Amino acid sequence: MIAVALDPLFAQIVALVMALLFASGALHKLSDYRAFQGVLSAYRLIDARAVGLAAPLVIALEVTAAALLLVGVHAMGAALAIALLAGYAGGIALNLKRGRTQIDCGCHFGRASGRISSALVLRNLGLCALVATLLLPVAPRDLGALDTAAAIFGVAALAVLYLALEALIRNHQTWSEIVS
Amino acid sequence: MMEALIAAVALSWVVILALCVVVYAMVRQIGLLHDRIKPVGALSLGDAIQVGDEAPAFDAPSLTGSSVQIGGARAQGRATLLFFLSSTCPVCKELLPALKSIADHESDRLRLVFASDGDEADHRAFIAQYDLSAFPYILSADVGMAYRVSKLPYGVVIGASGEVRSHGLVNSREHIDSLLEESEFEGVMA
Repeated sequence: MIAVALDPLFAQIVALVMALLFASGALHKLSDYRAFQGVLSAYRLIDARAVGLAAPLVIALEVTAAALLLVGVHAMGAALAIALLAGYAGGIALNLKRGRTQIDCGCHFGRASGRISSALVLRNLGLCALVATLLLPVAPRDLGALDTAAAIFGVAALAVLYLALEALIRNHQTWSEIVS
Repeated sequence: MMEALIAAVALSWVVILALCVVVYAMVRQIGLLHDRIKPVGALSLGDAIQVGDEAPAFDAPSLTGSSVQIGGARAQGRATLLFFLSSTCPVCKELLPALKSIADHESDRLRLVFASDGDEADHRAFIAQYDLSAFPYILSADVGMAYRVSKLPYGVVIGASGEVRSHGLVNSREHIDSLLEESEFEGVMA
C-alpha cells in the first residue's frame, strides 16, 4: 500500500493561505455588514427573516475556520473551510441556474462589483481541492528556519497569485461585456 | 554545498514572488484598460445607461394598480425616481420611510416607482407590510437588466422628458438626496 503523506511545509502553507483568505473575507464582511446582509439576501437561499441570523453565523464560521487553520487544527479547519466554500459554490450555481446572473457575488473583497459567474464556482471548487489536501496524513518532519522562510515566501506568492486570479475573473467579465 | 543550495532556493523564492507581483500588476493593467474602453458601446453596471441618455421605455404592470410607463421620450410631466429594491434587503427597508416622505412632499413633481423581481406573493406581502400600495410597484427582471442593476438598493432618476438624470447605488438617505440633487431636482430634505 502506498501511503500518501503530505510534507508539513506544504500543509503549513496551505493552512496559512486559507486562514488568510477566510480572515480577510470575514473582515470585509464585517467592515460593510449591511452590504453583506444585502448580498446574502440577494442570493435568495434562505428566508428573509433568517438573514439577520445567518449573516453573523457565516462570519462566525469564517472566523472559526481561519482560527482553526491558524493554530494548526488542520483537519477540523479544513472540513469547515470545505463546507463554507462548497456552500458558496452551491449558492452561486443555484442562482446561475435560476438565471439570476446579475446579482452581486459579494466576493472580490467588495472592491469591484463582480457579478456571479461559473468561473467563481470553479474557483471555489479549486480552493476546496486545495484545502482538501490538509485532510491527508502529514509526514513527520521537523520544520527548520529554512522552512519558515519558504512558508513566508510561499504564502506571499500564493496570496498575490490569488489576487491575480480574482482580477482575471473580473477582467473576463468586463471583457465579455465589451464584446457582447 | 548546503549554503549554495540555500542561497539558490532563497533566490528562486524571491524571483517567484517578484514574478507573481508582475503577473498581478499586468492583470490589473488589463483590467484598467477594459474599464477605459468599456463605455464604447459596452453595457455594464453604471455604464449601461449614461446620464443624459434617453431612459429605455417600459410598460410594465404594477402590483398596486394599472400598468406603469417608465422612460421613453413621451413627457410624463413629472420626474420619476425608479427605486430598485428587494423584499429581503435590509437597507431597502430602512430607506422606505425616507422615500415615502420624499415622494409625499414632492408628489407634484416627482413620481416614485418601485421595481423588483421574483415571487409575486412575496412582494404582495411586502407591499402590505410596508404600506406601499400608494406607489407603482413593478415586478420585472427586464427593467433591472436594462439598467444593469447588480447591487440593491439602486436608484435611477428619470427627468420629466424621459432622460436619465442620475443613477447609482443608494445606501442611505443622503444618497437619495444626492441622486435628486445631481438630477437638479430640488428634493426637500424633510
